[in-house]
Amino acid sequence: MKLIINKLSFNYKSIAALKDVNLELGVGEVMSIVGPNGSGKSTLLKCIDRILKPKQGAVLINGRDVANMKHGELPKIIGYVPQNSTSTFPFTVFEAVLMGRKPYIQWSVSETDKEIVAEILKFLGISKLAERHLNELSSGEQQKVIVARALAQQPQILLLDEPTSNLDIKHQLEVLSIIKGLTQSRQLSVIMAMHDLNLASRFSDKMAMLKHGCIFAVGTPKSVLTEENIESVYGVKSHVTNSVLDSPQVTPIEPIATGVENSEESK
Amino acid sequence: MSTASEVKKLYAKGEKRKVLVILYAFIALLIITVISVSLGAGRPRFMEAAQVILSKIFPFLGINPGSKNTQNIILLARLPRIVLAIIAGAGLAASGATMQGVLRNPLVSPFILGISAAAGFGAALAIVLGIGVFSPYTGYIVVANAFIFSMLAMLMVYGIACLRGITPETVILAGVAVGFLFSALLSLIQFVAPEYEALRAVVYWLMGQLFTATWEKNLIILPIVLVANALMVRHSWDINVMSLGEETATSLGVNSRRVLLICITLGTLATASIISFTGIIGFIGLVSPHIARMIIGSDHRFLLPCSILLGACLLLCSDTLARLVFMRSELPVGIVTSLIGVPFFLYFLLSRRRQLWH
Amino acid sequence: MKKRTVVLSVVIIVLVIAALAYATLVYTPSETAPQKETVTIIDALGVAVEVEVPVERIISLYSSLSEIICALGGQDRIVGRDATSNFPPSILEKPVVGESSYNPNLEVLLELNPDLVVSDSMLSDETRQTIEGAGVPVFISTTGELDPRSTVTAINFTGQLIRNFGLILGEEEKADEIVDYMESYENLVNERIKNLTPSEKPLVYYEWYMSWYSCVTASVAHAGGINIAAEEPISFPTLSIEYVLEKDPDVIIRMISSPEHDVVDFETMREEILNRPVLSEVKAVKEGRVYVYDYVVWTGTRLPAGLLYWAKWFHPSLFEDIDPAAIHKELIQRFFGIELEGVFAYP
Repeated sequence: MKLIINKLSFNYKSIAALKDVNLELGVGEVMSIVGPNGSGKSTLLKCIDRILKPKQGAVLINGRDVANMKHGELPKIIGYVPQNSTSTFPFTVFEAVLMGRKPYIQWSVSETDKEIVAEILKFLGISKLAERHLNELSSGEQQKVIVARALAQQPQILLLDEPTSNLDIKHQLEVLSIIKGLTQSRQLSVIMAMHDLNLASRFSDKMAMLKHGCIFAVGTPKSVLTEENIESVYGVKSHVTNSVLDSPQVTPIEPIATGVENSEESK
Repeated sequence: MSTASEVKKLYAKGEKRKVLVILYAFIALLIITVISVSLGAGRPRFMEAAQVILSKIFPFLGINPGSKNTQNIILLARLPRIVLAIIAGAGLAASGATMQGVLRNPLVSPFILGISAAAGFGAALAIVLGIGVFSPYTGYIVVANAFIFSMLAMLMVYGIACLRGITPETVILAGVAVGFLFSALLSLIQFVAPEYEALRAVVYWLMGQLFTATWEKNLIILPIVLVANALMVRHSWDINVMSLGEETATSLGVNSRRVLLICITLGTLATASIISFTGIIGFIGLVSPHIARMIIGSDHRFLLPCSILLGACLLLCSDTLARLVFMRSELPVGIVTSLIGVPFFLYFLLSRRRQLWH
Repeated sequence: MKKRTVVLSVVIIVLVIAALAYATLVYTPSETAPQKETVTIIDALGVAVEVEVPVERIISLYSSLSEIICALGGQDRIVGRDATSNFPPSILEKPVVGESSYNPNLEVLLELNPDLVVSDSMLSDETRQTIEGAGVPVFISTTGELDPRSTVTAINFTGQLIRNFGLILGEEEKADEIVDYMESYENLVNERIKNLTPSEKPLVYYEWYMSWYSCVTASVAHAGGINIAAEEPISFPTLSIEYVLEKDPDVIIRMISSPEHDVVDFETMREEILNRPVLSEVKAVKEGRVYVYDYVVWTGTRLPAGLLYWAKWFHPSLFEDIDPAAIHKELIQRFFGIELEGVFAYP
C-alpha cells in the first residue's frame, strides 16, 4: 500500500498542531516520526486514521482519499496502536484481540476469526496468556496484546503511537523486532511515533522529524539525525556517532541555554 | 506453549460455557416464576394456579378453573405483577448494563441521566395538581407526566453535554446536574403541596411498587422494553469495542458518539417507560450487570442477555419477598430492592475488587 | 509553671459561670399567681394543659374543634382559625391564621393575643413550644380518626373532648346535653348489635384515601362489622389485592372528600369501585353493597351520623327505621341552628 500524505493541516481550537505535512510511504517500509513533545506526532497518526479530521489536506492510500472511503473500509486497511490502552472492564486477552476483528464481524465469531486471533497470539508469543485478564498482565505483555489487536484487523498499514514508552529494554527490542519482521513477511507498512531517537533510527527505514507541527526533515535516519537538526528541533547539543549496528547513535550532551525553546503545546 | 488450535478450542469452550450459563439463568427464572405464582395472600397455591392458567390458555382441555374469585386472584392480582416484575427487571438490567458499557463506568445505573428525579417530579406534579386528592393516583396522567419529564431530562442532558462534546464524562456530569435540578423541584412540590394527602401519595409513588400492574399496562411496557432490549443487544460488539477507549473504538470503525447517543436513548426509553408505571425501583439496574459480569465476563454479547435474565430474577424475587413480609398488606418493592442491594455491594467491594475494574 | 496557672484559671471561670447559671435558674421569680381559676385538661398527646377559665380568646387550627366550640356556643370566643375551619358559616368571618395546623403564621397568631390555641396533631413540636413559650397554652387533639388501635369508641373519645371544652368554656351543661345526645345513638346501635355472632357480622373492606389503602380502625367493629384489615401491623396498610379478594368482603366502604357535597362525586367514586376488574367477583360488588361517604360525618359532633350510616349499611334489616341523613340534619339544626344541605353519603 502506498501511502501519500498531502498538505495535511490540523488545528486544536485555534492552535495549529499540524501545518502542511507532506509524506510518502511505500510498501513494506517502516517510518518513524520523531520530534519533541507537542510537535504533533500523535496528532499526525490520528489524522491518518481519521480519528481526528484534518482541517486541510488529504491522506491517499493507493491513490484513494480516505475521506471518501465507505464506512468500515478504513479499519480493514489501517491498524492503530494507541499509546495507552485501558479497558474499564476485565476482558481476556483473546477477547481483547478478537475486538480487532470488529470490522469483519456482524454478530457471531467465525472459525476464521478465531483462527486469525489464535495465530497472531502464537506469533507474538502470548498464546499461554489467551484466557488471562488484561489487568493481570505486565506492561510488556499488555503492549503485545494491543499490537495483536491491531494486527487482527489484517491491516496493510500499522500506526503505532509510542509503542515502547513504558517497556523495559528487553520488551522494547522484542516488540520492535516483531514489527520490523512483520513488514517483511506480511508486506506491512508501518508508521511509528517515537521519542527514543536511537531505537527509532535502528528500526526504521525512513524518518521524519517534526517541529511545531511542520516537517523539519525527512529521509533516512542517517540523513535526518544530524547534530544540527537535533540542536535546531530539540534545542539540545548532542554527539551523533555510528553505532555497532550501523545506525546513527545520538548522545545528548546538554540543552542549549538561549534561543530555541520547545513550545509548551499540548499534544 | 499452547498451540493455536488449543487456544481456539479454549475460547470455543468458553463460549459454550457462557451459553450454558444463560440457559441456566433462564431456567432459574422459570423456577422462580413458578414459585411466585404459587405464593400469595390469597389461598391459591400451585395446583389451583396451574388449573386457572391452563384452563385459560387451553380452554378445550376442559380443566375446572375454580371459582371466579379464585380466577381473579390469579389472573388479575397475581399474574400481572409477576409479568411486570420480569419485564421491568429485564428492562432495568439491560439499561444498566448498556449504560455501564458505553459510559465506561461500572458505577452507572439506568438513572444516571437524572431520570428518576425527573420522573418523580413529573408524577408529583400530576398528583398534586391534576387529579384531585381522592382519586386513583395511579391514573394515566401520572404515568404520562412521569414519562414526559424523564424524556425531557434526557434531552436536557444531551443539550448540556453538547456544549462540551458528547463524551461519557460530559454525559455523566450533565446527568448529575439535571438529577439535582429535578430533585430540588420535587422537594419544592412536596413542600408547597396544599393537601397533606397528595404529599403522602407522592412519597408512596416514589417508593416503587408493582402491585398496580394490569394487563393493559403490561401491554404498553412490554413492546417498548422488548424492542429497546433487542436493539441494545444488537449493539453488543460496539459496546465491547467502546470500552477500549474512544480512539481505539474509532480506529476499529465504531462511531463512538453515535453509539453513545443511541444506546443511552434506548436505555433511557426502556427505563422511563418502566418507572413511569412503577415508581422508582433501584439497584436492579446497577447490581444485575455486576453479578452477570462476575459470572459470564465482559463480552456484551453474553453479558447483556445474562444481565437481562438476572434482572428479571432479582426483581421477581424481591417482589415475591415483599409480598411475603406482610402477607396481607403491601410493602413497596423499591424498599426491598434497596435493602438487597446493600449487602451485594458490600460483598463486591470486599471480595472481588481486582477483577471487576482496574 | 504557666500552664498550670492557665488551667486553674479556666476551671475557676467555668465554676463561677456554672454557679451563676444555677443561681439564676433557681431564684427566678415564679410567674405571678393566676388571677383567674385554672383548669387542667389532658390532651391527646398526654400533655396536661393548664387553662385559665373561662377562656375568652381561642384560636382553633382544626376544623372539628372549631365545630365543637361553636356547638358549645363559644363561637364568639373564637378569634382566629385555620383555612380548613369553615363550618359553621358564621366562623368564616374570623381571621385566618394559616392554611392548616401544619405551619400557622406565628406572628398573626400571637398578635391576636389568644388565651388558648387548639389544634390537631399536625402542629409541629417546635411551633407548639414557641406558642407555649409566649405564655399561651396549646391543646392538641384528634377527633374522628383517633388512634386507630384505640379501644375507646370515637363517640366516647369525642365526648370526653366535648366535656373538656365545656369545662374551659364554662358551658358544662351544654356539653352534657351534646354528649348525651351522641351517646344515646351509640347506645342505640350497641343495643341492636350486641347479640350478633361473628358470622352474622359482615366482612368489611374499608378504603379510605387511595385504592387499596385501608385502616385498622375499630370503628368498623363498633358499627357491627368486621374490618378485614383489623389485624395489620401497620396502622394504615396498603392491602394486598389478593388478600381482599380472598376475604371476599360483604361490604365495601370508601371515604372521600366532597367539599361541594355534590352527589356526582360520590357516584363517580362508587362507579370506579364497581368497575374495578379485580373486584368484579367480590360479594360486595356483585350485590351492590358499595358505599361512599364524606369524611366529615365521622368527625366532631357529627359522629352519630357517621356511626348510623355505617350501622345501617352493615345491617340494613336491623336499622330499617333509622334515616342517618335525617339524623345528620337534625343534629346540625340542633347544635348549629343551620339547615344542612347536600349529599354526605351514597347510596
